[in-house]
Amino acid sequence: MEERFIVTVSGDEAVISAKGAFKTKDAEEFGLRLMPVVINNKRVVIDMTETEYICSGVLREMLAAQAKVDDSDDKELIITNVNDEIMEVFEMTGFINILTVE
Amino acid sequence: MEIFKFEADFNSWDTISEQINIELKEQGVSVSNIRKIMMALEEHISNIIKYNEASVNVELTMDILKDAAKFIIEDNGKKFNPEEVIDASTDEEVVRKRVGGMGITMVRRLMDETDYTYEEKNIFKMTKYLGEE
Repeated sequence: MEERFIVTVSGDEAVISAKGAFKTKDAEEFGLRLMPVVINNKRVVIDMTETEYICSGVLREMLAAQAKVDDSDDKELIITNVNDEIMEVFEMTGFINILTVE
Repeated sequence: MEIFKFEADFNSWDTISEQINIELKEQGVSVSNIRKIMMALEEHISNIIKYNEASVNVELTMDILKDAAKFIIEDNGKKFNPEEVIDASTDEEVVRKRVGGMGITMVRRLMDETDYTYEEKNIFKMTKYLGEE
């Protein structure tokens, strides 16, 4: 997954470029890669420009990361450039009310 | 019409899902519909894999018509009717608790028709209309 989960750090901001389709088999690894980035950076942006689709398992990992952000006073997790279909999933699952999607 | 037969495990499904993705593209299905179909299939097949312990066999029939993509997914796993599961709540508090049912909700909302029957095996049908978006 390394080539599909690219982390770029600049100062205290990390941008994750998530590329391709993230299926159930990818969910655990997605979470294992995401959480340290969230822990070690003040602001994390998940750029989904090249994300085709995601699964409910990945949504759960995002939720876990969001919980870590919510527990802190100064962290941010932002999801950007989401395609219409993934946005529809965020809306139908209620995740749109929990995650910061721009 | 194409029929895919595979064992219910993530590696086998990964291979099959790639083939389905390619076939949908070759048949001219829109990117938007492909994404919705692939997400729905991913959720349903994942549930078959996750909720059965012993080796389960899956037969997935795909029929891409001019105005609809139809799928029939048969498995010999535990009897399970996803239509009996109510939609997952979108209430923030409930979502945060990660109560189940999200995948089934996704299938239901992403596809235009779903139907379940049991005839010595689970038979789940899902249809996506391919009209103008």
